[in-house]
Amino acid sequence: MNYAYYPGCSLESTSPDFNESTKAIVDFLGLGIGELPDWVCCGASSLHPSDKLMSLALPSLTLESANKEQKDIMVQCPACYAHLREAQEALSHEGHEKDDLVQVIGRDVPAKMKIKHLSEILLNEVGIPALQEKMVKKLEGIKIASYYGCVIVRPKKLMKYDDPENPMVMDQLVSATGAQSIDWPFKTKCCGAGYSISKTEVTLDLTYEILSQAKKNGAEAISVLCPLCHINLDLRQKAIEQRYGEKFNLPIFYYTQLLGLSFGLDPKKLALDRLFVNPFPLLKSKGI
Amino acid sequence: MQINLSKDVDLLQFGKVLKQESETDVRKCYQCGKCTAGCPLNYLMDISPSQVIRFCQLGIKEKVLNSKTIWFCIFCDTCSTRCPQEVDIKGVMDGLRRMATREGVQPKAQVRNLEKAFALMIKMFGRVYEPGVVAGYNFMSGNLFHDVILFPLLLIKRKINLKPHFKKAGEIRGMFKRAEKVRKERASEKGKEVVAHE
Repeated sequence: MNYAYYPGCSLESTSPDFNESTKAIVDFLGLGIGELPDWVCCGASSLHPSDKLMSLALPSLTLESANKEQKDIMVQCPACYAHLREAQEALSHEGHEKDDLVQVIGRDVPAKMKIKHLSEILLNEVGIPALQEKMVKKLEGIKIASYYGCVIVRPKKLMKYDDPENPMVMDQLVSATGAQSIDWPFKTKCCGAGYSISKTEVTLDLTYEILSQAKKNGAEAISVLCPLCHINLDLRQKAIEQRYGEKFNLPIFYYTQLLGLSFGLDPKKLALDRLFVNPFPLLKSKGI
Repeated sequence: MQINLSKDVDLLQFGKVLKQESETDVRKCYQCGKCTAGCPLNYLMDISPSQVIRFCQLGIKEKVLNSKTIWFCIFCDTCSTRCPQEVDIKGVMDGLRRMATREGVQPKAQVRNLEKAFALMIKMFGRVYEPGVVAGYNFMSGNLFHDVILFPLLLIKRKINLKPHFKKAGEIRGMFKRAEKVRKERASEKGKEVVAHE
């Protein structure tokens, strides 16, 4: 394993809880994954429709930083993941697009490194048995809906993550902790993503459906792997409840926080106190 | 809707540009409607995603470029993933937005301001400073107090990092300039109108 960690702008600025719980479990497992120096913004989904060339050139700079360190890249934000992959694709195929890209960057960037999401590394490279060996607490009795959102599974050809209709990567990690991962139909339904800022009411409509489907299928909490999904489901949950006059009270965990709990790590270190929907009453009721 | 075939249809030219922009062939669509059925934003659109594809097949450019649909698409890719004919519907929406921008069509949803606020942060810092994105967006859209109520909550929960990080911002600004130059060269090669970028 020879990864460097690319946190991306969201984890660095508005999702420190995801960043800290990620670092906490990576350190605990002794994976030896440090932060990639000199990384830059991936361009996010905002650049793509208006400036396709720059949306490929920006992540290329980060690929170049990984080359310099001779490292593969570990990511947590699905949007960063997608943009790094897109740049890698563009740099790997000779043609007009690559010529333009090289002209914009000012040089060619070899892009042969592996780019993986931490959930894939944990499942496929560390493996469930090795993870379970380190688990000291069983999260038994909690029913959890794993929610993946759009970007990590689609487009399938680019992401190569899991089945875009019924992914199971996070479900397997959640089940490994002893929690019950529920089967439900909204795993990859869109949360409204960037509309969180520009059309907040659309996000509230879409997340309402996700929360109510989770609840109807018996979930007591939701596990996520995307910082924007987290903001839309956690930070905006109160607004959703007000808009629809319905109480959910569903804690939204990052999967790294659930794993960290089962490793017996300090809830503060996992930034559980930073969640907007207080998870402690649920954890206490399950004796965790 | 009544269509005047000799006046409204610009099949050849439109079809060519669309194929180039979206890298997909809309002619393969047989109108099963699966894209429309799975679209999470269909409820806000004036014409459905499958109708957009149908109008593209027929070359009725005005109808699609002036639709709300292309601006409401959130690029979740559910449509393209499920299409039995492997038409990249999301790619078509993306391409139509670029074409509309080139032709000076006024966007039917406030998407540009957010894009501009993002690009500004990238040019200033090299990494996106998210509080700055929201502030920039609020300023450009004239809605200064949007989500301001959340700010103290974010501070209390220490959910926000107020320190911007500078990385390669100078190099990135140079790249933006070169990208603009490359785009202009390509556009003049193709004899297309140049896309206006801020």
